Amino acid sequence: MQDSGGPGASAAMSPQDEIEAFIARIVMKDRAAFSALYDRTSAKLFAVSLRVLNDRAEAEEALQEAYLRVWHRAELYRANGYSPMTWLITLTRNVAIDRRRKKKPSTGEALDAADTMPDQGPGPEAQAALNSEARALYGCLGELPPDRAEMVQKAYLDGWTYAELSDATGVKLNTVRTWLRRALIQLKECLSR
Amino acid sequence: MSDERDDIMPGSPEDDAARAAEYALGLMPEEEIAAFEERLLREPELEATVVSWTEYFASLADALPPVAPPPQLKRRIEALAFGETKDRPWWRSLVPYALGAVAAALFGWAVITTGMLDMGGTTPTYVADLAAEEGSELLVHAGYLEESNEFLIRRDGGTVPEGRDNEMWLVPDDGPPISLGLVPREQGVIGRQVLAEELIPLLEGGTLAVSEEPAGGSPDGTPTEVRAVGPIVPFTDT
Repeated sequence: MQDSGGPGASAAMSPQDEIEAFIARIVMKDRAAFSALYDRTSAKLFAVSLRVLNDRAEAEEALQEAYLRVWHRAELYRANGYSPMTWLITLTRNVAIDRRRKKKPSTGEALDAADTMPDQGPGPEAQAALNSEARALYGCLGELPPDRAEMVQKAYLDGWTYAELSDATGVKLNTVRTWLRRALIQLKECLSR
Repeated sequence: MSDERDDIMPGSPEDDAARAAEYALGLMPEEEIAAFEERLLREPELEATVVSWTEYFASLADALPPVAPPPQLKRRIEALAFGETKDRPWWRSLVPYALGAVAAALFGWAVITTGMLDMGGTTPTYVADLAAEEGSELLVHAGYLEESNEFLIRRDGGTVPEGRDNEMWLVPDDGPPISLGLVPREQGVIGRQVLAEELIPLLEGGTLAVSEEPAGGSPDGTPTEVRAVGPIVPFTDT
């Protein structure tokens, strides 16, 4: 059990531990913990939702749905062993992607190297602040052909499907899938080095 | 070209790694998901691969620059989560009350509306009458003139103490109240202002509220003490 006092009371806890403590108290329907968790995580989760949906009103609705699930289903955390932030990000992303795919599928904008430069990862300063997983992942994405690394990011951050990736690149769907599966295996090998 | 063909051996560790990543990315074709999830239940190693991919990919999201959601979203979420009764924003509770006051507004204040007509010389599109239910007397009449796009406020009863002011608010169906300026301190004086264009659609079915504030109006852009509430109703020339 967590022994912290009010929300955010303990300075000694790591941010991850603190979020975990909030979730544990939300299971007990602790409103102050819910409010504190929202304050701590909503800007990050809104960024996730906004990136997938690309529309503020839709992103707000998705964020609302995600937090309501956290409030009602916090006990599901831990069931599958994710870190607390990953659990929250995954939950929000899933809600946002469900909404995105219920909308009329947009034909993806063309994947153009010039457009996609900002997606190649955070700048050097931000990079220093990344956790070890993010550093390893960006390092290994850098070893992939740039268009394949871009596809991985489009799939994860923007929620693109194979069909959208195929539209945007003008490459047949099966070929896109083959490319990406190979890229993912290469990525896995790099990450386990 | 071999690019056309997937030369990854089905069932190989590479194939599993790729499938786990496709699953974590949400790229797995729908018809393959059920079978894969079936395997996840039986194969802890495969599940660990999915968790590991998910952790890596989530770090991409974690690196996105944060974007603060609008402040009213938190209130809305908490109201929905904690139940409507307790933590609902206060202006939500005004709306049913205001609806109950429709009859009074329609029948009780015709004279005053006519009085404003004489002053303005044109017919208002919408009117509202606000009376304090408790405390010292306060009667305020408001109207909107479409022709000149003017919003008019008149004090019909009560005084405001020295060092205090009454402020008029538009309470939309959804969202925080918007200030429409101060209520004139003296009875019978009409305050006029041109209404911002984006507020015009909010009048239909909206609610007005009058608050008591420190001199000059609300210090923080939200009503301090609500004194009176009334619905905005279409003006009927009867």
